[in-house]
Amino acid sequence: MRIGIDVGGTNTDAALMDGPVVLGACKSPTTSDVSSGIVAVLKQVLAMTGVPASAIRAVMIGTTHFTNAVVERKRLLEVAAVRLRLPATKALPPMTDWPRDLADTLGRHTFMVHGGNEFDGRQIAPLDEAEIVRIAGEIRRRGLRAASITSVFSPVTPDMELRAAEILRDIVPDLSISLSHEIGRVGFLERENASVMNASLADLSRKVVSSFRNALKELSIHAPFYISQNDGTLMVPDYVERYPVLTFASGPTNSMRGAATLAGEKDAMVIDIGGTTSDVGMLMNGFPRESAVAVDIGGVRTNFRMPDVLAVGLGGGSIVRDEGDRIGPDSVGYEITSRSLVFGGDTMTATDIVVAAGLEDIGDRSRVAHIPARTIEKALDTIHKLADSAVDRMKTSADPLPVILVGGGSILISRDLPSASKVIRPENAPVANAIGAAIAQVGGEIDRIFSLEGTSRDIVLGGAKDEASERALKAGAQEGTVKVIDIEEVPLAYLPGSATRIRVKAVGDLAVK
Amino acid sequence: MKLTSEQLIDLSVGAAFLGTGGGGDPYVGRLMVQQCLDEGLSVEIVSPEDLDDDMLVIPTAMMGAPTVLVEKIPSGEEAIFSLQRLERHLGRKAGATMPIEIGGINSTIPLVVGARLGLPVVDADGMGRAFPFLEMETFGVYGVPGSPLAVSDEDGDCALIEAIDNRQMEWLARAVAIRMGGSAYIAEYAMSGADVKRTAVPNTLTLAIRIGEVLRRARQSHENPIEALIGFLPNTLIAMGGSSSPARSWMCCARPRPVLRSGASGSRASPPSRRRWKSRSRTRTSLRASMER
Repeated sequence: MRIGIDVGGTNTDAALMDGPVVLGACKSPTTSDVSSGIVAVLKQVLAMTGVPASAIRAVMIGTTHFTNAVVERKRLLEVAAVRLRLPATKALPPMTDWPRDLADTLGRHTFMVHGGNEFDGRQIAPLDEAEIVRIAGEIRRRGLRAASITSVFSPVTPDMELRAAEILRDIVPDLSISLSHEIGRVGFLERENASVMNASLADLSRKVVSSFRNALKELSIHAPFYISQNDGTLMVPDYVERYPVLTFASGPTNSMRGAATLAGEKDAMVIDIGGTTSDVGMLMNGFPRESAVAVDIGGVRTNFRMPDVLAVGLGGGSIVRDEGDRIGPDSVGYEITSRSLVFGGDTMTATDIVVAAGLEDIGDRSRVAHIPARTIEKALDTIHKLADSAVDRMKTSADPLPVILVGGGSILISRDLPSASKVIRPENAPVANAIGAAIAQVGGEIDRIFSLEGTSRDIVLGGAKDEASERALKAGAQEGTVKVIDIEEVPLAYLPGSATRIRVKAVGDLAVK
Repeated sequence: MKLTSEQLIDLSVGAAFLGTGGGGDPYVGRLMVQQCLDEGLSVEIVSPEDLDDDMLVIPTAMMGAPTVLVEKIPSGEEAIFSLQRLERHLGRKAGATMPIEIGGINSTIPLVVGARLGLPVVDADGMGRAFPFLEMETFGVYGVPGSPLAVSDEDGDCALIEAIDNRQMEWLARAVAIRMGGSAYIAEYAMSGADVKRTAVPNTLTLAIRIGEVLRRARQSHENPIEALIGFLPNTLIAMGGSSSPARSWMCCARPRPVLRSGASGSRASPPSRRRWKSRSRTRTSLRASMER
């Protein structure tokens, strides 16, 4: 049996699962020490299911703690941001586009060094080692405890980052060093940003991981625990201590994967309908399709693997106009309980329509009795058309897919959608995040530019697959279960056929002893 | 017109729209210009109509793979180096610089050059969009020679190319750009103010700014951005639809592009057909029409 835990900003949720079956789920407020909130929710879920702590084989935790630290600019270390490959990149020094207050919090200790590589791995200039030695001295003098090192094209050739780290560590042995090639993919500024943020979280990650450890110890749960990362796979605690930044934005992924499990579907569209918007995302092979667009975390641009989610202005509070012809995109939002008609307000919302149609019984039904049948009919049409076209826009083929409805606003959808093969409303949807964490697998990914010159595509692809699988094993996957689930090849534009960017992702079941 | 930070954001969005995906992510270019503005430098955008006929205008640009550019961020001096090399070769000083295309980074590189050298930037370009090859610029189509061309990298290497025609110039410059690490910075199509007026697609920087502004306002007021755009660019909507099965394919040196699955093969991109040029001239007309609004 497994327990999935979601430590959110407001609530800590837990779901106890036996295989794909949810035995029990509950919520408890998140506490400032994290640990006592986890203890409370664990006690609750064990008590309600009557399962002994010794029967738990693994605990999976999803957390927004590190994201929140960056957003709130709290509990962060000052960082020496070291960059290799001058004179390239000089136009935009480290932390150029950061919010001023966050850059101030991290101290703006930036260092730029000569030496580096090109896209095909060839060396332009050797690393200026004397300069790294000087920076090490400066790090000591300023009393910095964390550093990040980012070199141009380090995802292709990490040698210079590794060498620079070696020199820094020799001189400042207790320095926490984040190397960009271990954190991000091609896209220099985004990878550097992630690497610098990761370094700033070095202290907090040790504390949070040990608070997780203590919470489980307190309840005599001796099972191993894991923490989920942004692509819906798991990391072992040691890994999280070193790469806390990889937990950023694991929430949306867990929620979509949780919804899929609850519905028993692997390829489906998930619509999360809230008060103001509907977020539509696509599951392929049980994983969310990833976004190609840069993601801001706390005002800093990153290129993390995040679910590709389309937000459309359709929610329970969406305002109805033109006799039902137009719905949203604006909404009464959290004021729905005072401004919508059924709650005594004066604004006709999508919720009022479903109540008027007799589909739901919310608030005071008599207050919507005056809405003409034609308006109700028209508005219901518009609502379903909006949802249907959002699903259609996210689809990658014309074939109908199952649609999974979650969120409080899912009451709006009462009919079939033409783009959907069926519409599913799973139970336990409010704890989808915790369930998503509980079912997570472990994965490994590589994303690099490969030169195909003097070799063949098959050899390169084979090597890339092996390397991704190797990374999955290293992350804790069970031997024999690792599968390559995604391969993406993009030839480099405007360059002759030798260079191709290849991304391979492999996942496997968690090795549970 | 002096460019403001807000206009710069609008410009990069509008340029990405006009570039229809060509020329890469405008983010890096926008930050480079913003860095100039933060240092107190200014970007002066001038109408092509205001150029002296005998003024020397040298367009500047990045050439190579946008995928490389997002990793190997420029030093910011490469295009300046190319422009100055060309000035030395021609024995004349440039009175202005200009984009060669609108899209991705190339709508912003000339702004960096202009800000750093104190040169005005002409509100025009050689494509109205983003195109794959240098010989496709309207300057060349209307008879301006692209050579001599100077191409530089961030390390200080520079090559000067004098080719027999614009197609050969493109061919040679691209070979150098690859040796320079996949992204390099060029100055070419040095021409007179009169030639700019005769051959350039006019007012495209300000058009990009206004398109970005329309999209920003639509987003702010929760309007449909496509409808807002159609309102701003009348008679431009030809069809609406979605691609049913997108695939990436390798088409010689051109950028990866979506192709329909119905048997499109990876042949070398052919020169623009007559029909395509006709439709382009229609685009120019509608761009002009929208500028007059």
